[in-house]
Amino acid sequence: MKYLNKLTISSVILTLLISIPALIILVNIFSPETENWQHLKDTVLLEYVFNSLYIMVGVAFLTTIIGFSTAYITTMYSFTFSSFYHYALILPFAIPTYIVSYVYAGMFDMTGSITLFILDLLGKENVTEVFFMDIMSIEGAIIVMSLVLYPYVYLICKTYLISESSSIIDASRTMGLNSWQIFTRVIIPISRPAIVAGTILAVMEAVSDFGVVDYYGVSTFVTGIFRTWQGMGSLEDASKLASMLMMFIFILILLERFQRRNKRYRSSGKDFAPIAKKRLTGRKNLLANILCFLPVFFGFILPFIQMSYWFVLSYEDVIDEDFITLLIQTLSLGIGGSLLITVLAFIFVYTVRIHKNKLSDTLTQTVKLGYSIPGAVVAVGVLSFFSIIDKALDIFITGSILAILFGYCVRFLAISINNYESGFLKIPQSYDDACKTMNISEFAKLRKVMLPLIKNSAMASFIVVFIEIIKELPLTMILRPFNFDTLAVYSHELVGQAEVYESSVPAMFIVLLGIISVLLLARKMIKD
Amino acid sequence: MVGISVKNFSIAFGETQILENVSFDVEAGEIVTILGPSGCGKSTILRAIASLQDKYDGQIFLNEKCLINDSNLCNKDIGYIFQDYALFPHLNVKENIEFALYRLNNIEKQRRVDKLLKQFDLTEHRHKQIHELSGGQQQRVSIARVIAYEPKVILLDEPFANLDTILRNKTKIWLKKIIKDLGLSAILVTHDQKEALSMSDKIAIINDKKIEQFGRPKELFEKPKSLYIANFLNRINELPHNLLENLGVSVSFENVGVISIDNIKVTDNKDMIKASILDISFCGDYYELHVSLDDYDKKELIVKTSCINCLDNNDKECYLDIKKDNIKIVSKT
Repeated sequence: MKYLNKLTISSVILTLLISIPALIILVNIFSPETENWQHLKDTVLLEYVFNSLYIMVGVAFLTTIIGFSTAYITTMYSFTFSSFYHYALILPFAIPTYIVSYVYAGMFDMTGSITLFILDLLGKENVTEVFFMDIMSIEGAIIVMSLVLYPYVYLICKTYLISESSSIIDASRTMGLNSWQIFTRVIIPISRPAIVAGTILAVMEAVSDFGVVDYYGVSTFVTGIFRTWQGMGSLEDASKLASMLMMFIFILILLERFQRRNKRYRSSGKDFAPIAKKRLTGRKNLLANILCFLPVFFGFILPFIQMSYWFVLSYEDVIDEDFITLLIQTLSLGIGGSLLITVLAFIFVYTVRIHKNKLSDTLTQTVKLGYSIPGAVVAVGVLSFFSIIDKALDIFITGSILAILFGYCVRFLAISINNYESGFLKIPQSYDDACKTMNISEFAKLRKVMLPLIKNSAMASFIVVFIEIIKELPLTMILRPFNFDTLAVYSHELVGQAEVYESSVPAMFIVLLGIISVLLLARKMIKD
Repeated sequence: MVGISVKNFSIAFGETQILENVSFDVEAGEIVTILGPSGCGKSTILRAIASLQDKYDGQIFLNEKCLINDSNLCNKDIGYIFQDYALFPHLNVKENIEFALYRLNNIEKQRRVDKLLKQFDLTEHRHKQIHELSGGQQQRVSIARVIAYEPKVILLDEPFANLDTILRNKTKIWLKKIIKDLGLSAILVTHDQKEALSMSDKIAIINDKKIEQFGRPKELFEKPKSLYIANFLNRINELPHNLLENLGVSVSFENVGVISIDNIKVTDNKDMIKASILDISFCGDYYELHVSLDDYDKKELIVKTSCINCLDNNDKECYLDIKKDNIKIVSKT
């Protein structure tokens, strides 16, 4: 009974609500097989499993190579543009994966701008004589996803190397190890937890992706969920597929937690000493620049330049009154959703802070799992949940803004909670104790101490969630009300209608908002 | 003035018992220090008195009125100085000091804050942010903030831990004067015996979950109850039984004879106790010798001398003058 205070009760109710879609999906794994399901099993289920696994392995391999090598080079060495790459290497985060895939298809498919240019240059006619693979394939999808998702590995490995490796490298140097020996015998083994953590995040994003695989015609669990729901009209079987995908994701989370057991990510109490970077000159300097430039070029500069070119060519045809309405709708949804999430996340984290009980902490950790559930799965869960409410209360909220906001809460509360948690970590417990000994009421403490001190975290949370909402595609596509589009959905629809140039206009707005978020993230990193 | 009484205080964190039946009294206007090694639970007692800690057994009385074992209730007669000062970084010096004066009208608030700023030599810093102050100034602000709401009892949790030696010595004198001038009762928590000896009217030394000895500093220093207390308050040597017998000191098996390292004289008098020198450390105005008593099972001792010339035989040997009167007999446990 001692746990049952107002804030904890609110957290329990919110957690239950937020967990319902995932629970409905999970329960579906045990539902009896329907005729449709039997058909799926006989025809495409194995392909979904195989393709999803292939994407996971491919993306894991490429993102590890790109992310870890760039993190290592920029942490350990100083070269001509090294400080530029410190930020440039995270720029691919600014462009949603599906937008990069549209741009790459527009450049490298049979009639793509670069394909035609190269054919013309070499005087060839057949694409297969020039390119060894078709971009619109599963391998193409893997490459595109890896180019955008490698910053997960880069960021986590870099942070880890900066905080952990200084004294270890110094010790290795004094023991006479050369750079190669330090890399293979020290750096790789100690970085393993960071590499795995970063790679699993990238893989989770890849396996949850809808835009890339849908456009490249690759059948995975996510495209399967869409087809089953929209094509076969079977929400039940879509849920069953979603439950299988969720199992995939939970296995990944368990794997990550298992490999992290008994391992610390941060050193305990020792003073932070910056790594003495080795200065590279001559050929090594050039090589380091090339290695860091390639991911930035292919992950950001090339697609951005191509997109800007298409934008200039087509913006006059696309930007009209309807587009402005679409823009306002997207921004309103983003602002409303992120405000709601920022407030709800505060309730969760503040409850843990002031009540310090296991129940509040467990509730917060449960809610945080939502981010690992793919958007399409969340959407199917919300649809199932809201259809039950519709039937029970004889109302129609399934196709309303409420459903979409609820879906965003399930998926993005974790981001906001993480922001608050790191913010509250910087506020010592003695501030709460000081307020208590001075007989300051809880409300006065919240107003005069906690809110002023946590406002930066709240602001960061608002911005990051806002950008995530703007970028979100599958969840928005499934849950949006009739005739309600967002920039992401519109861009996907234009691409679907083979209007690749025009799709760059809404995409450009998303990317510009994304760049702002990446810059804010970089600024926060410097501050931290 | 208000006194505090702690009766049979026991607390456990999970399976680990931290303190067991701890009892002591703080008379009105007294400064009592709780002294003990890190992690012995001394801050937990302070937190319980300030109602920051609940789930303990026993009772705490403030002027004979029992405090309720509930961390949701705080007593406005108690002020708490935190080790990290707990000053709010988004408020300036003046705003921090007036933080707890929300019940006062603006004129009274202003009057009280101005008086404290002057008293604590902070007037010129009143508009500064906390990070612009030195460690000593920050500590003065934290004390002023507590004094501002006029508590009757002040609890100090390692208040000098973040100050350098020179500032620590200055602040100790200043703080003691403030507490005495205002007639406050105070409990100080520290692991520094010099701090405890110089600040306190009484000291409670914690060992193995209990208060091992409670009394006036001089009494504890001169008549330590146990080897632990003697060791904690002073740098001592434990003397071997056969040496004590030779010196005419009778010691039962449960007790030991100890002597402060300051009370052993290094001499060139060969009639005294011969010792081999194992190591010499230069300590500024004296030398510290690590010696072994050749005739007494090679028992090792630490002694001090300012006269390095007294050492014989190329710094290999020396002679120790140990006076019977300087030996204290304390319990082994």
